[in-house]
Amino acid sequence: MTTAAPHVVGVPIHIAGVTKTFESARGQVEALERLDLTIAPGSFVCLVGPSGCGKSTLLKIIAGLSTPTSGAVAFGADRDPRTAMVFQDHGLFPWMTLQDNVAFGLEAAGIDRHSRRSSAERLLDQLGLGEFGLRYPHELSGGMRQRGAIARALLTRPQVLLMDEPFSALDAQSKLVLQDEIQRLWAEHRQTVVYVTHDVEEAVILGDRVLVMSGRPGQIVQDLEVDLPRPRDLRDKNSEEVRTKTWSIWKAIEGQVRRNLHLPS
Amino acid sequence: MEYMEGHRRPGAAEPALTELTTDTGVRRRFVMPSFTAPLLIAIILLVAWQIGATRGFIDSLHFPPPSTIARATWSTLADGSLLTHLGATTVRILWAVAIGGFLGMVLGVAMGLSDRVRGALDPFVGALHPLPKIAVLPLLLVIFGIGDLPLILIIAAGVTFPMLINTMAGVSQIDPIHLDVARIHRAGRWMVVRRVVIPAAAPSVLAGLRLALNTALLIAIAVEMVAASSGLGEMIWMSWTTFRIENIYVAVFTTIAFGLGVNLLITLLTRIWIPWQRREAR
Repeated sequence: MTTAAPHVVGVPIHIAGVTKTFESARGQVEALERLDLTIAPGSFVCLVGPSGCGKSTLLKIIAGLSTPTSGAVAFGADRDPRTAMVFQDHGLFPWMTLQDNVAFGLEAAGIDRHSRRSSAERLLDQLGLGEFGLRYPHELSGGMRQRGAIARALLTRPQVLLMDEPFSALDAQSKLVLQDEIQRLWAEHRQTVVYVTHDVEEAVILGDRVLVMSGRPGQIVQDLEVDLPRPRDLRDKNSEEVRTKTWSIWKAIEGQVRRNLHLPS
Repeated sequence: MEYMEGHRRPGAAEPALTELTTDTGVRRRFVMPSFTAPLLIAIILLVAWQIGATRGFIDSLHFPPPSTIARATWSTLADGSLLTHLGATTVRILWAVAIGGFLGMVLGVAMGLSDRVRGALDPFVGALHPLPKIAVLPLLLVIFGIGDLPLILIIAAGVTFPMLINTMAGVSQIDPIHLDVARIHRAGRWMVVRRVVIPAAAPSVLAGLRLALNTALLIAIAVEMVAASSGLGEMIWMSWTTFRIENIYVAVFTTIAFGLGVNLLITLLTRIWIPWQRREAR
């Protein structure tokens, strides 16, 4: 369990009895059923599971982009914390320069053009994108776009940072570098991070805690703490702890993955 | 990643970027399309026409030689009549595009954003869009009397639909992630429209504007033939009734030039307003 350093900006997340039902052509689909979960302030929690297990739905509900059919999400004493989200497909606006994209949250908050530009510039500098602020997204590589998306999420100083498979569209090497980056950025501010991924190993390497989801409706089938020192990197993948936990998670979801593929278990 | 090292050694960043962006192919330079072949074809046709008409191979009464048309162009330019007609048509089209374009865009944004508005208005769009707008010209002439207003309204009606349909398509095809990004940053309604919806729809809107201007020209010429005392359509009609065949050609070629100019202008506007679209546009 992570100890709350004085620097923590994150807030706790309490999920109580959250159910989400979608209407589809073939009737009702239960994405989540009576899910209860508490996430500690400033922790890095990974949600891992096969397609259709409801992990992205849960993330959208925490983000407030989707309302639960029943149940509620609360954030401790803070009723309306600053929340930001990084999507799988960067989601940068193609019609804005990188700088304006990054400053979007500040623009929405009514900050004047001059101060928001200088804040965006400063953050882009820190992320090594300083000289690309006036470029449009289509002029940047995939890894740079995704870092731009992270910068946009961070500039509003979020207390809750939600990431929906942020690196799954990147090549394996860019992914390794950005996994380092996100750990570093999180260690600086200690937002409460909820990180959704398909990648079991990534979940164990990044998370303080890994929640394994499976089934329809989605349920939490495993709840693991990962107690390795940070920053964690490629070498940790060979540690006993990571290997054991990765295997255990895989065993918990393999059946569902096979069913999704219509393969025998 | 090369660019990160490039950042630490600033001198190395530029080549790294070029390399990294080759997959998106954006840094390609704009290549002017070659006009050599079409120009050559036009010259050959004109020369053949000139020789054919002066030597009597083709009927020079109906197909006056280009030299005669050029002289007619010069004299209508000199007495100011050609520019007066061109100006009258242009002004009508501009008014119509302003009115119809605004109406089409407002309705298109509303219908693209709200399923309820769309459901309420879609049947009317479906019914009125195919109606040849010129069919109601007599009615408008009765209501407003002879003058520019009924003509502008008819042209505006023709402009409204392509603008509406394209704007609606552009708005309803916005990437849902972009709307999620706006929501999570708590952007206000007006900011969402101004910074997300309109720019996202801009390429479709400009495509609609191109269609709308072509439709406007079509309707303008038609209504001017029937109910105007100026304009390129009126010039064509008057030249027929007074049997000034060469002036028909002058007006038709002017109309062609007008259409070409408008399309070129839209292409230019697209390049200036939607630089991010360049790659996809070609």
